Amino acid sequence: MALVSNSRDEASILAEAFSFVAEHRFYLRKAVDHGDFYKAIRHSLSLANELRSSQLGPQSYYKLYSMVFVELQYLGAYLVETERHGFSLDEVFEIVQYEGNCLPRLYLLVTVGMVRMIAVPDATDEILQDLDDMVRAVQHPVRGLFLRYFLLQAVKDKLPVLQSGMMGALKFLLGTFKEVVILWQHLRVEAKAENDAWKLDDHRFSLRLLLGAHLMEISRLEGLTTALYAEVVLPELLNLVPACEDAAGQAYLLQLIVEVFADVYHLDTLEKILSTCAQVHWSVDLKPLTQHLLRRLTSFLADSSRSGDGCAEISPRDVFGFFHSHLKQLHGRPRTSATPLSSLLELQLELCMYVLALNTGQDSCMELLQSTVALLQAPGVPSPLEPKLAEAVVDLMAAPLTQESLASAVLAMPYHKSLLAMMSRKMQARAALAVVSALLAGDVSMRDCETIQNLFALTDTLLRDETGRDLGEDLRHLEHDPVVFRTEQETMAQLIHQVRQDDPKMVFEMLSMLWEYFQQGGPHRIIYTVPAMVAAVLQLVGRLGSETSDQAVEILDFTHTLCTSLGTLAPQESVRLWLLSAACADKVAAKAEKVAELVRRISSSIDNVLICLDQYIPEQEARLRGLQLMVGTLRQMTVGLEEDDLKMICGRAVALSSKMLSKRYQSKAFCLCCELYWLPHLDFQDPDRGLLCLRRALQSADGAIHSDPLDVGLFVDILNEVIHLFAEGASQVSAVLLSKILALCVQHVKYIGNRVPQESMRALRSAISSLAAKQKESMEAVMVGDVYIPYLEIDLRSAEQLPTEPSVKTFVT
Amino acid sequence: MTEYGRLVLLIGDYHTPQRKADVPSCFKELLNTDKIGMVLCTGNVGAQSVAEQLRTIAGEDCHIVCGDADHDFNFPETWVTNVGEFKVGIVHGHQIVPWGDDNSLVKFAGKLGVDILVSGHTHRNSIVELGGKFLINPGSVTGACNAVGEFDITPSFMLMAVQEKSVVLYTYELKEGQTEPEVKMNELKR
Repeated sequence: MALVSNSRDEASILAEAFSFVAEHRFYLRKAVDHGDFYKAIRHSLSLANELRSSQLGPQSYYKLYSMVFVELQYLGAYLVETERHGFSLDEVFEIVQYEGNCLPRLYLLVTVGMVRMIAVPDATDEILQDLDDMVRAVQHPVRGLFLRYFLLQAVKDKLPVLQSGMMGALKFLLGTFKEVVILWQHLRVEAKAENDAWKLDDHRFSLRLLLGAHLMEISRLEGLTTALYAEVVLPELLNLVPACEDAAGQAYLLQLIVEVFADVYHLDTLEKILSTCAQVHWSVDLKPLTQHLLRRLTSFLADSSRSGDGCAEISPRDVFGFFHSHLKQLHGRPRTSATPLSSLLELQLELCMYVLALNTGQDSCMELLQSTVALLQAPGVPSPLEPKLAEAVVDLMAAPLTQESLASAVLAMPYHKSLLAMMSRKMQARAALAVVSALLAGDVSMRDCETIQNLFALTDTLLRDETGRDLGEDLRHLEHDPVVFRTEQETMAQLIHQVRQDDPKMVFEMLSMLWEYFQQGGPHRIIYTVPAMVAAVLQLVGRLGSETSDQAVEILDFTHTLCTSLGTLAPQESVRLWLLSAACADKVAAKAEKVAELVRRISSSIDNVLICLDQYIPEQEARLRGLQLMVGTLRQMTVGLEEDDLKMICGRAVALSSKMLSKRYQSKAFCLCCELYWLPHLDFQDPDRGLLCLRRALQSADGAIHSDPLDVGLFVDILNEVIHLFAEGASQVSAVLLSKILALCVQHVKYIGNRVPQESMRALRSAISSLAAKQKESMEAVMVGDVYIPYLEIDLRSAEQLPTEPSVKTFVT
Repeated sequence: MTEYGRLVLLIGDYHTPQRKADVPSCFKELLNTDKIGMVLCTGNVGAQSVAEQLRTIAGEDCHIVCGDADHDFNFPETWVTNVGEFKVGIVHGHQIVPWGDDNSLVKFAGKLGVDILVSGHTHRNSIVELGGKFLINPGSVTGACNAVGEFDITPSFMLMAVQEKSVVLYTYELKEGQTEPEVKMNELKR
């Protein structure tokens, strides 16, 4: 209640003062209009007299001050016109000097002084000195602060004409700033609660900008150099810091210095300002100030190094040194709610970002990590670290690993291990993931086994289930959260591709080492890592020269181990991996010496594919996809298989096809198998069995349309297969055969009439039109004397029986 | 609609993390744009997160077809859509043996009834006009090895700018040892 009534009082006092000022404002203007000099002075004094109020709070006082300020400016403009009022400025000065109360008189004297400075620039120094001495008389904090502020506003644009030059101005500004700080300090109200000790009280907070205004003028002085700043300005300012008796005031003053002056000044005086900071009472949170300064200098130095004009006086490495010792000093201060451990860790991270942004080298990064470890190993730090602290540590661990130049060196040091040991298993897993993600984010290569060992010492939580210890409820949840688990394992799989080295032997060694680690993770982990391992290992095959068959065999045997380990865990993936190894083996066989060894590997891979398809992939769709991939892979080979092996494979593939439950899939599978009998790169083809296979495809298709006539598209698929074989000149695939199958398709399509699926109809039409186009081409070839005319023997007449194509193409909109 | 027409992203064959760690970072920057109105992905996204990330590019208009390695997903085998006055079909391509055979692809385009067929699987980007169809392969965005064991793959993807009767294709390729992509432009006209 007391507060409310107080504020109402203040409001009414302010309103009263406003009306009083407004009244005198009226008379002042009237007096000026009438040329009544004395009246003008008197009313101005009455106006200014209102500022004597001691009942107004700083904000109300500021409103009143602004009003009076405007009027005094008006008076000033009148006083300049000496002819109008008939008094010389010296006379005006004399007159005002003996008037009324101290405060209004001083406001008027400053106004007159300002006018005299304009009229007699030569006397500026002397007048300024007088005014400076006079305003000293007011020691009431609020009145004094505003009077000083008034003086500053009155004289600031006259400072450049001082005869004592820039130094004179500087001296004046520093002097007046000192007075202002002392006055401001008197405003201080004792903090009520212990916890608020580091906060500015409301009064000082609301008038803090008056301090800033003075300091701004210093920073704007023309001719202020870094040397002058370092030798004169800063020492003076820092001397004021202890003058603030309380920590909050000191901190604010430092903050002001940091904010007002340019980065280049701070760089030069970093040691001084930081050591003063560190002396500020321990109850003050220095994080915002330090963070602010560090961020500013980081971007300043980064910009200047980018633009090439680096600061010669101080290297980024030295800046790091200053900050680092500053932080270490902060670590030594008593821990309070104002300087919690989390703040200190944030500052460590901030400095780490500086190190990364400016490339200050490995040493600085190591020093920083070392001091972090020391900070956390100090007595009183909870173990394991609370999640929030651990989170901060995780960030700090990850940051340096995004840089190639730092990563392996950092991992080689014991710091990350020590940091990890301070966390709970849950946070360890988080840290491990962050570490790996950082490496990936920075696209950091892993170039030696040591780095891998060091890294994997940190990521144990991701690689293995926890054994031996009873899991807490939350841990168990994490270990079995499928989404988190999947992300973790996929990230580990990504890591495999970061193994890079010019020497394939070393890569092989590193990958073997990775496999040692991954193997321990159990089947639910390796399904993520094996595919990436296989791809990474097979990449090596491509890099081998022609004389390195032995190595190729060794590599292929390794992939064999990898694929075997996947076994029945992910049969569809296994199929793809076996096929990829077979394809790679074929690629290397094409240029290698010991072809037989490699061909044996191809054959055994395909063998495994068939086992997978037969035993572990019962779903027809997946099985068909597997067959597609197998046929596709064999089709693209250049060396391929031995005749006997191929025969066996063909036989098994056909057997597999006939095992399909639905006729539809059977037909598709047989149709695919036809390819295997006419593989273009082999000189042993088996047209008889091929045609048999084709017939079985037709039989199955026939069976399929009996249960569902809409499967008529199967015939078109077979037609396309035959067209393809015909185009390749496959033996025994004659024009007669093709014509027959075409006629069969047309017959079936006609039979089911309107119910033919659009897709099948379109497929048939495009098959026919491609044949027609080929015939036309052949015709033209005959005209120019070419005798090779297989296409001309195809009988397309059956196609004429198809219903006519709709002439207008309709688009779905 | 932008003044360049609607941009359609053609992308696919990620194989992350199975065959490559990630999409090149310069591609990531390029794809971080709001100018793409439709995504057509040829499949083999690798991880769930890739599919999710693709859906953030153009929201609803994101169509991913089933690659040979996408058995954990529920993507369709093919997808047909209208882009400007063109009918565009998309298929991964492992289903069409022999792989990457233009004549077979043309017939497949005929089967789908499309003017433009987008397919992947070979990991080699290409633009072919054959039999009245345009066959487009955006390649592998990560540069992953292909099913026939080739590892010298240049990472690539395409942007298709469609105006009513013409299509401009921008092919972005990241050549070996480069940090910035090369862009090629092709105009397709009916």
